[in-house]
Amino acid sequence: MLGDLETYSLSHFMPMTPEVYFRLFERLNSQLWPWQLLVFALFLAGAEALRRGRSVMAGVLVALCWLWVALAFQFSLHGELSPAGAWLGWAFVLQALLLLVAGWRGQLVGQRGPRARVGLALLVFALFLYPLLGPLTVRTWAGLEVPGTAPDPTLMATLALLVMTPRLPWLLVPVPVLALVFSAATWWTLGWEPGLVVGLLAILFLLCPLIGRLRQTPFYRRP
Amino acid sequence: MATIRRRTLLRALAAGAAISALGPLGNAIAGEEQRLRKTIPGTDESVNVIGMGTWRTFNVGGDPQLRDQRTEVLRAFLEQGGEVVDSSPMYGSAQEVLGHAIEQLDAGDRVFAADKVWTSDGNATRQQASESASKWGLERFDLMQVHNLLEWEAHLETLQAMKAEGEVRYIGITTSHGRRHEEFERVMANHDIDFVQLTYNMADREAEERLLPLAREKDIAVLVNRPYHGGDLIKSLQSRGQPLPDWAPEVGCSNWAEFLLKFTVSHPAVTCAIPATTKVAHMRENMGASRGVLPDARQRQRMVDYLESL
Repeated sequence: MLGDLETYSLSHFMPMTPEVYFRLFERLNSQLWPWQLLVFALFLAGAEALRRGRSVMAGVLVALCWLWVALAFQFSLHGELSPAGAWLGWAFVLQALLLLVAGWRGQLVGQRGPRARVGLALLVFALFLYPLLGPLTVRTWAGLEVPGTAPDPTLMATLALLVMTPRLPWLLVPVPVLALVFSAATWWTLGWEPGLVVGLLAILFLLCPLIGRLRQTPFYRRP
Repeated sequence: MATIRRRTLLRALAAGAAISALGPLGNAIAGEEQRLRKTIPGTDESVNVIGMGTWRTFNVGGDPQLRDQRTEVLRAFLEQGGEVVDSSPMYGSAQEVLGHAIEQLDAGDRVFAADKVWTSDGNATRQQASESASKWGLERFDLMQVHNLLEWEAHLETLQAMKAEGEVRYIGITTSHGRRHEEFERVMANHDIDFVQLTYNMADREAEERLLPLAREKDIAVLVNRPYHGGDLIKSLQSRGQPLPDWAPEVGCSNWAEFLLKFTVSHPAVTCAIPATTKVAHMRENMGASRGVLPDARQRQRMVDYLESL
């Protein structure tokens, strides 16, 4: 089998057409409506909790979103089409647990400084700009990727929150970064080039520790 | 000895005395609205030369809208006389979606059902075949193949036993993209199989060198996957607006789909090509290649020369 490796390309591992994958998001929104608004609000509340230094609350709220994506998208919709759905589903569950632990350990608190501003910019991109890329290109508004229910904006927004923390909780990094790389490969294979931006964001995130050398001031100081 | 099913009997009665051999093509038969059929070597059963694959195209999960669309694709296929439908446990939800479409169209007796065993557990052949049949909504398959030679020794042994017990009518092996041809050839040469499935198209003719001649020598039927080279070939020709040659009608072709498919199925060793599509219009184009005439050896070379000149 190893001798055949050169005969494989990414497309050989993509068991569905672009139409089918795009439809997953339309079906996700259709099935969840209007609960995705609540989940989106949960994520925003999680971000606000992190900014205010309420680490446990931030961990719980963001972890709920990850569990939601795992159950509503990865295990059910994506899992129908590809084994990758189940693998990613378990990865999302693992990340939810890690978020709970990080929150409990007080690692999910915001800060001030240049890295925090980068994090905020990434967060705005993930929550409000990236979801528009689909409908503004070849996809439909019905298939809008809503943060908190669709994987990619949730992954990117979570990384953005991590950038805002004074000391990066590295245990929370592998799942979202690897999932974003997988997602970028998926979009590329399906021929939706704007989706490559999720891979670029993962790379940008990995460069963020360089910014960490700049001066940081916690938003919230422990008594 | 393969038993004759209701579908086969109906086809034979419909074709009736009009069936006639087409000279140098040997086993190609025209009849029943001029549909081109080929005989499964070693039997008196024939199938339409154009079948249907399901890789990617039928993996739509529980999406009711897309399931309905795929049902229409299958309906168009059957209305145009198509029979051979091929799937695999590897294709996500494709088997279940096919089963849904077959149920909607009450078409269980009209398809030549070809599926595959795809598991590294050599003891799971019967179990996986049974699960696949359940997804299709069938009691048994016409053809069960070992997918990409995965754990082929164990699976083939079990499939031979299943065939002897009447649980499957034909057995075979598959490959694609030109992979593992040497091992594939050894299995063809040394084991009792009815079908092989391989990649063969105008852009990938490696199978002409050894596998297709061996299939003829050993009386093995040949299903051809990727007859459009994964879609790249026809998309490239159509997007560049390449014209068909003036003499295309002489080889029975009015569009590129027919040109490419008729080249593939006119090889004397090829029994049936199984292009996959998500669109009814494309299915009708595909099935156009199952009507009219097939090119002979001289015309096939002319087709190759023309394509290479573009």
